[in-house]
Amino acid sequence: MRDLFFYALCAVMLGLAITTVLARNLFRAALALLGVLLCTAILFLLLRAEMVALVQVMVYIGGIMIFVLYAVLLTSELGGRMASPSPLKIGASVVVAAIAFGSLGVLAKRAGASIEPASVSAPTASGSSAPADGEANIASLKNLGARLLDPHGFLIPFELVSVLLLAAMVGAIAVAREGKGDAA
Amino acid sequence: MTALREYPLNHPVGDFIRGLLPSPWSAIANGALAVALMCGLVTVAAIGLIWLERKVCAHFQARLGPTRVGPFGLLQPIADAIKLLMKENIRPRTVDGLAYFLAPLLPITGSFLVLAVMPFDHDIQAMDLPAGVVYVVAVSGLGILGILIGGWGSNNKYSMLGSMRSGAQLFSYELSMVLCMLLVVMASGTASLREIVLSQQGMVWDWWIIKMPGAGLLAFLLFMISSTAELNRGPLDLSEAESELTGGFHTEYTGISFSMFFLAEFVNMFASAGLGATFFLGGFLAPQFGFAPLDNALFAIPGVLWFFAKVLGLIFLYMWFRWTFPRLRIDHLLSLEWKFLLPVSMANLLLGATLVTFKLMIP
Repeated sequence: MRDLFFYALCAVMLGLAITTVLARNLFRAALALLGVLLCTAILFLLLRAEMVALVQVMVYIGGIMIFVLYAVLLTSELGGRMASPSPLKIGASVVVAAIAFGSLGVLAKRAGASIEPASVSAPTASGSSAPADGEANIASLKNLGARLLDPHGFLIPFELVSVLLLAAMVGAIAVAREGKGDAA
Repeated sequence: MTALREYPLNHPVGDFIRGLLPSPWSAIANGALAVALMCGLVTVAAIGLIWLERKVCAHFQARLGPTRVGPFGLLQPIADAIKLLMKENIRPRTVDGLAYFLAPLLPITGSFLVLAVMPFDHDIQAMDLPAGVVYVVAVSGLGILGILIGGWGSNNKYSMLGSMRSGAQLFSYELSMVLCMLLVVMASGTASLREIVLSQQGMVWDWWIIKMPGAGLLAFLLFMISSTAELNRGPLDLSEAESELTGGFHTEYTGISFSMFFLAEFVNMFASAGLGATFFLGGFLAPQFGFAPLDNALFAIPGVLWFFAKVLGLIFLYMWFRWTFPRLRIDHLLSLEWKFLLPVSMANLLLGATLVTFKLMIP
C-alpha cells in the first residue's frame, strides 16, 4: 500500500516536473512547479520527516512560489507563449541534464550502498493520529533546533548561511537601487 | 496559586464512538468525526459571522441591520447563502481555465487546514502537531497563492492589480505576524498549539498577554494589526478596495466561486481570532482570579465555550476596526509594515528573549 502510494506519487511528480519544463506558458509552468514542490513535501511525510515537510511547504510554497508567481505576474501576460527554444539550446540542455542526472545517479548508488534500507521502511499499522515521538524522530522541531544551535552541531554553517542570505539581500537591494538612481 | 487542573486528552463522546467499533474502523471513524465536526463548524461559523458582521456594521452606522428574515434577522445569512449558490456561475471567455478554477479552492483549503490544529478544548482538537505553529504558517500561505492565481487567471487588469497589491500586503504582514507567534513559542518553549495553551495555566495573569510584562501586550496588538491585514479586512482590505478596483482579485468571480472566496474570508477570520486566543488569551482555559468559589464556578463552564467566547470577542474587535478606520493607501500600508511594524516586532522579540532569559515574568 505504502509502496503503491510512493510510486503513484512519483509518477504524478515526474509528470508535473516534465510539465514545468515543457510548458510554453510561464504561469502554467509555475503552477506545475508548485505541484512538484507539494509532492516533495508529501515524500518527506512518507519518510516521517514531518518537520522537513512543513518547512518545505512553508518556505517553498508559502515563500518562493509566491515570489515566482509574482515575477510571472509582473512580466508575462495571459496566454503569452514563449517561443520554442533553438535546437542548439535543446541539445545543450540535454547534455547538461544527462551529466547532472548521471552524476546524481552514481552518487546515489554509492551512498545507497552504505545505507541499510531496513532503517527507513518501518511502517507500523498504528492509528493515524499517533504523533511522531520526539525521541524517535530525528527531524523533529526540537532536535532540529538543538542541532542547529549546538556549537558542536551546525551552528557555524547555519550562521554562515545566514550571512550568505544577507549578502544576497544586500546585493538585490543594490541592484534595484542602481536602476532607480539612473532614472532619477 | 491553586493546584494545576487536569486536562485529559480524550473526549468522552469520541471514546464512546471509538469503543463501538472494532480496531481498524475506529481510526477511520476518528478522522471522519473530525472532518464532519470541522465541516459543521465552518458552515455554522461562516453563517453566524455573516449575520454578526451585518449587525455590527449596521449598529456602528446607527442602523438596525437585517430584521425581517427570522427573529433579529437571524435567518438572513441563510437567505444570502441560498441567493449566492443559486446565482449563475459565469465564466468569462478569456480566463485561464485551470487558474480560474483552482484559485477559489486554495484560500478555503488553507483556512480549513488551520482549523485542523486548533485546540477548541483540551479534548477537542483534530490533531496536535509538535510543530503546530510551523504548520499554521505553512498552510496559511495557500491563501496568498489563491489570490495571486485568481488575479492572474481572471485576465482582468483590476483583478491583476488587486492580486498584486494583495500579494505584497499578505507577504509583508505575514512577517510581523510570525514574529509575534515566535515570541509566544519562545516564552512557552513549545510549538504545539495545545502545549502553548497549557503553558498559560493558572490565573488570568498567567496568560501570555499579561505574563510577559509589556512584550505580551505589544505582541498582541501587533498580532491584531497584522492579522487584520492578513485577513484582507478593512481598513487594510486593499486587495478588494471596491471603490477603486471594483472588487479586486474577485472581480470576475460570480456565484459559487465567489462565495468560496467569501467563505474563506470569514473562516479565516475565525481561525485567526482562534490563533489570537490560543497564543495570548489562554485558549480554552477558564479565567481564574484566585478566589476559590468564583474560580470553581468559572472552571465548571466547558473550555470550548471559553474558547468561543474569546474568539467572538476578538472577532468583534476585527469588525470594530473595519467599520471605524478608513482604508489605507497601498504605499502607506507597506510603509506601516516595513518601517514600523516589522522593526517593532523584532525589537519586541528581543525584549521577549531578554524576559525569557532572565525569567522576568509576572509570577
